[in-house]
Amino acid sequence: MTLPPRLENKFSELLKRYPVKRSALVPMLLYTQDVFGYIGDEMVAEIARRLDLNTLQVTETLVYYSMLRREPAGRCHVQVCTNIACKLRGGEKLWEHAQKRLGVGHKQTSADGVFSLEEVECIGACTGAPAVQVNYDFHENLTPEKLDKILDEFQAGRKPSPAPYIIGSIHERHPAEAPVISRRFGIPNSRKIDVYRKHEGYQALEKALNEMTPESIIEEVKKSNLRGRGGAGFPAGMKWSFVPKDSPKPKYIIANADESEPGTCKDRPLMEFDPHQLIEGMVIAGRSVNSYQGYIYVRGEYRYVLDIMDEAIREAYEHGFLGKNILGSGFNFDLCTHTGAGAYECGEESALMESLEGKRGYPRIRPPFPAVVGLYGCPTVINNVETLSSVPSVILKGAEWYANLGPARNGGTRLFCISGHVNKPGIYELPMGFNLLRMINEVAGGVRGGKKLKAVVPGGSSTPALKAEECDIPMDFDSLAKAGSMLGSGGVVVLDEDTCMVDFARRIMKFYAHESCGWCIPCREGTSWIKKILDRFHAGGGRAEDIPLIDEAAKNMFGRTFCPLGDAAAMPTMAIVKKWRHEFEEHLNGRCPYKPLDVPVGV
Amino acid sequence: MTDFEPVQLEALLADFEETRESLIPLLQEVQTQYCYLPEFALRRIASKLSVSLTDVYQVATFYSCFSLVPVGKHVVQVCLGTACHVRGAPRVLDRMLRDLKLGTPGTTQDMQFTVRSVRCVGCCGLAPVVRVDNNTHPNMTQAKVRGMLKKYRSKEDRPAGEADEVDDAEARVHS
Repeated sequence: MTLPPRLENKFSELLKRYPVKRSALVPMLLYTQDVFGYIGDEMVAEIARRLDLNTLQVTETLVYYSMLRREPAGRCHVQVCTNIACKLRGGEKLWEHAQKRLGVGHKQTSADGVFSLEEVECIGACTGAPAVQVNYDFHENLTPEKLDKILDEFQAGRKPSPAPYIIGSIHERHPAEAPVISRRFGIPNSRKIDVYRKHEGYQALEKALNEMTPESIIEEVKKSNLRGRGGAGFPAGMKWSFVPKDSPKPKYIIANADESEPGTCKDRPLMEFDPHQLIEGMVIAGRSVNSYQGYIYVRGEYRYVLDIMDEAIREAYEHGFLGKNILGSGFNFDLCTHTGAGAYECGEESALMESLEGKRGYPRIRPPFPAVVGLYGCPTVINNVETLSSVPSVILKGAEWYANLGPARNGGTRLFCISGHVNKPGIYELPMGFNLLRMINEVAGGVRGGKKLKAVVPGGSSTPALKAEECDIPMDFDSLAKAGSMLGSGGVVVLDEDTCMVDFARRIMKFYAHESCGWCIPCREGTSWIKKILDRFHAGGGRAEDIPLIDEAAKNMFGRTFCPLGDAAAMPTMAIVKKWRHEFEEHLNGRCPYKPLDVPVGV
Repeated sequence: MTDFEPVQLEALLADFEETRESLIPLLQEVQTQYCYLPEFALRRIASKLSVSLTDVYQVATFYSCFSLVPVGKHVVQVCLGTACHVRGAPRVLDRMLRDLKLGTPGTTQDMQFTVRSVRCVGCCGLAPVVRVDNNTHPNMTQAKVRGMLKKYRSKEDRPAGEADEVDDAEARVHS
């Protein structure tokens, strides 16, 4: 079958990236969809032929990923986010408006074929909420009027300019901020290699390659108290040290850029403004475990970020920071990007590796851990983008300096994405252990409209919400664990006094029910049943016995699944039932007593 | 009862209609009565219901609750479904096999127990779960295995010296 030249080129380039052909499957499907608008049977057969798979294998993988479709959509595919951060700022009203305006519903296409509509889960624009993606373009900080204007432009065949960068990432620095990994945000052309090198770029790599041994790099990272920024907070140096030194197998470095935790949007600006920082961190990580191949797994929705990363990688090769004999040290390291195609589950490390191998993103049982048996069965270091982006600073300025930025056992700084009911939503780099109340009241400008604070989700929707009186707390892994929550991924979602916690729990569970991969029964059944109960409960059909039932169902999900998605769905639910039980009881008379101001007002 | 008694089978067959629809209920009944499906019974059922022996055989081998070999007095099903797996069922199974001196799941020499690993029995909230006959044992641990088996082992079959501890052990397990 003859393909359009650009697709043909993309395919042959993709096939060169992986030691196993099947790995190219998901990117091939997504690029096919970009060209044809959908993935038809002939293309399924063609891709199967090229990857030595059968069509069934291609199809079963295709149907797993939410961005891939087998039917044509409209020329402009309008995706409205209604997940928590957007919901709190009117995402659901925007979604209703979009349906009315376009006259179509979820996953439907308008009669003229111009528009199709989809309600989507968190697209990583939480500080620019409410947000909409049209094809791959982000439009943030919307109101129904602004959305109408954008749709008018598309209707007229023009392409309105998308948000120039993620709203909330560039702002006047608050004095409390300690810019380390975000210090180059806002510098013109910061993503270009020349600018990066002018601002300390690749100096850490030089130091690591010329002055340090793999062991001393790991030792330095251990001493820095750099802990995993993806959510679990596992010490990065420790993780690297688990890679067996004497293994004859190839070793892999993976940057987890499948950022999809609701409320989190920090990896996006890190790659958008400072892609070379990530590359530098990955090469150093590669050096420390003697790996010669890295992958950056970027979520499918972040297409422009993927393009930025690809360009940065090209530049890095050109300047000799990637490839053979880097900086004359004799160390070789290759790096390439890999695109996902819409699946929250693929942000879980073992599912991510399955996905990178071209399969459905199902989690693997641990042990063995990825450090021993990971990608293609080989030792693999898999870290969050923010973790790897912190490595150059650790190496360049020293572990002690980095560790001292934060409290004990919680080194460095953290990008906090503060969203929801605050006056100045944004991405702020603050020292670890920064007080949460100060973060909300001083850094983010306080609760919107002078309202009282009701609750805060401290680190993405998976983390148990804190009551207002619990918020006087240092934001580090240990303090939050002690308070029964988690620092998580740094997505701080602020809720004011008018928010209905039952509705909030319902929206959280809707997300997990949508994203549960279905591998483990407790999660697959638990999330969808709890969602059904909460739907009914919030709509006025609640019964007193539902309250313990919700709690019980969540408990029965907790700790009974391969990956933490089941726990992530259970934890916030149990916390809300426990801490805001009275709000459930207030719903028992058949209606919701809360009148949230969720009209889309933008930032 | 594992000895085959043709007379009993005839009495049993008389309760069912001689149609193909009776096949599975009949096999279930034979399985319940004899703890397995003896070859003679399969042949007799085939001729009685006028279906081929192959048909009977393919049905008998499809369903996991049928067995063509004699099974022990108690059938122990160790759930290795996802939730049980995550919460340590493989260790429970290992311990059980060691205690019963079995290398792999199967039937003990004294025909007291048949150990099987099964997939999800549908009570993940109680994981890890072991089912013995029709009883469900929730939240199993390695430490609970011995006491649980003792409870089922018939008095006369118990190795000397074990008999009196049984109830105490069980009481401790549940306390």
